[in-house]
Amino acid sequence: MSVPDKDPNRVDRVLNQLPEPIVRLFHVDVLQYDRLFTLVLTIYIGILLVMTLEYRPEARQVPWVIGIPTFLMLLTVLAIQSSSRVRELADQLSNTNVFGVGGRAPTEEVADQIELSGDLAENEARRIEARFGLVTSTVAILGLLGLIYVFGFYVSIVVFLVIIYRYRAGLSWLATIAITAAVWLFAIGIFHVVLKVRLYAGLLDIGLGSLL
Amino acid sequence: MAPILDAIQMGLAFVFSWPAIAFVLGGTVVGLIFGALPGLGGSIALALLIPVTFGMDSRLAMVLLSATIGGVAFGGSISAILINTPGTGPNAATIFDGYPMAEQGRASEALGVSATASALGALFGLFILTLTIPFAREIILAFTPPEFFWLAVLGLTVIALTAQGSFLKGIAAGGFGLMLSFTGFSGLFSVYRFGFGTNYLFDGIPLIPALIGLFAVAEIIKLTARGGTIATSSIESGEGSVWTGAKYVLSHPRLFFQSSATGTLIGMVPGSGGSVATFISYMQAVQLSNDPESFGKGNPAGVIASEAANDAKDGGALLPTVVFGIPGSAVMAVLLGGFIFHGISPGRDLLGPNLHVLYIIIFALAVSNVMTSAIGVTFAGSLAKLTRVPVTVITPAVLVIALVGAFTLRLTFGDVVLAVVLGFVGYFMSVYNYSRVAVVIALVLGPVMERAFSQSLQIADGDYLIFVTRPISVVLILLTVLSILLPAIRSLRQEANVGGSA
Repeated sequence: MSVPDKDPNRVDRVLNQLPEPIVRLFHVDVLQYDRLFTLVLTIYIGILLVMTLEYRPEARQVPWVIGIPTFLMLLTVLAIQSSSRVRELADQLSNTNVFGVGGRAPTEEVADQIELSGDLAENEARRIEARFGLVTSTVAILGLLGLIYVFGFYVSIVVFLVIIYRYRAGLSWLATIAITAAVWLFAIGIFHVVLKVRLYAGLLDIGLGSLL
Repeated sequence: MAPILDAIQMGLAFVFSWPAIAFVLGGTVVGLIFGALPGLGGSIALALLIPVTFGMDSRLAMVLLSATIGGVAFGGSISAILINTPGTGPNAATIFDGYPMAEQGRASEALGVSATASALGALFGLFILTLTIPFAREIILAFTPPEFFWLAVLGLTVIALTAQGSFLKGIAAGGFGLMLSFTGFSGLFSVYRFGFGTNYLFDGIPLIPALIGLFAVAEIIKLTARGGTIATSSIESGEGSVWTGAKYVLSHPRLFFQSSATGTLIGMVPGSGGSVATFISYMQAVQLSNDPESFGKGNPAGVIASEAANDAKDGGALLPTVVFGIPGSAVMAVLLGGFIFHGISPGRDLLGPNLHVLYIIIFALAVSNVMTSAIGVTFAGSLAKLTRVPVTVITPAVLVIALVGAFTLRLTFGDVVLAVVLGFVGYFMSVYNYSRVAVVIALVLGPVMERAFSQSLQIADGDYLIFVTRPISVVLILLTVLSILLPAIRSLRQEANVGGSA
């Protein structure tokens, strides 16, 4: 689920095998992704506002009171992020970030978690490594979600943990089995045995939940 | 007064009965571990524990959740002192003097100072809370729907305070959370809003899976994206006595009371956050000291200032949470989710028929804080070792437990998907400075605000003047305006100060 420390060249090796447009995504400036996230939020609020048009006036009263200013605020954030002139204007209004969005730079992985050095190339390498970690953890989490959907909790927990501990974390088989068993027993023990909750058994219910 | 004394007696008897005392111990240990592990903390511990309390006696559930909160603050100081990494945000100020003490081979003494200041600070904060409750009961009875509407609006303006550094984004995050809170079937208007053609959202956005997503899953993503181990530096407990540290606190009562009072007062201001309390307390200690140069170089007074304020603030933060349902901090917002999950309503309910539950929470917090300090000092070294475990080992286990927890509340796979989706939303919000706390506060207060708004209009036959003609409402409106303008006023004053000194 994360970038192993043992092989520092692993990220480069993997990136070299990927198509150029995908590799370029790892080099995009933090502010671009910040703007993209703001755009997604703006579109979401916009869609909700459009949906309210189908409701009775009294049912859309409060969502409008909240949604319209929120939409406008997000548009302002986008404008500040996208236009240097708007950013300058905002800075003139207050250089202490009263209206600002830029007072604190987006932390992203690299600035949030890793001590920045003065070396730009090194910072870029760390940022790429952190983004790579984000992609691999995303794949792992979505993989677990897919496993649960198909096989249910009882099987997926074991499969997921064995794969992650043995092949991503590089633990020994003994440690992998011990930790997997401990987590499985804890989760199943607390919820299935103590709280009597039958966990989701998945599309391919193999009946393990009933056997326990 | 008699109902209060009865409630105190019931609360005390319950917390010290079996199995409640075992729940205090369990919650304390969980809180200690989550507090000591940087990146996890109280909100995540509570978000993961709430599903575990499913089907449990609500009083036992409150004991477990409160005891967990009690364990977190001191747990965070262990990693701050031993490995120079604060377990939680508010413990950051403990690093300034705690870690230099550890480097000087006085780690045990620093832990002794932290343990004593934490336990006594928490007791101080809870004592002040207990003194305030009789007045809070009288105040709450004067509140009707228009007042609750403005109270919810005031609570929402807390978002402005939580949006430190990026005001516009913080307010926008609150708006986003409010829009999420309007999702689902509204009995008031008989309409199903923002359902996106699916029946899954009919009951709205479920709070607990949302909390698990926004806090637990988001932090898991953050930690796994970073990789490595949670902490990178380490230092052993070293020479020196825990008792030396404990005695140091007792021999500095003025500093202790000053720090605890600061923590309690700041904790009462919703949204001000524990970090604000500890840093202000630390700055006060430096300013009032005869030897300010020694701070930052291993002065135990710095640890007292930070830790006493950190633990005392929980008592203060409980006040707006239990009286008005306005969470004083992110941890209190999640605790409020726990209240709602167990059918306990803040305000009239918690100060009336369920007053004993409030005292159960207070006593569980008090006992857990004392237990935390005793356990923490004994096992501090072992707990610190946990932070050197690679995140690849910790995060998969936490992720699995988080997703199982998200499922068990309503037995719906959709809740697991929601936790994952909001996990990614929470991750990006955290990375791009959109306040997650604002979303949680909005999710909790949004329905309250809309309900109070509609009820007020029903009472007044649609006359909007009801919102501005009642005395308490007017006071709340003024407070709301002040709360919105406060960050701007503060910025302008800072600007003026900078201009003046230039």
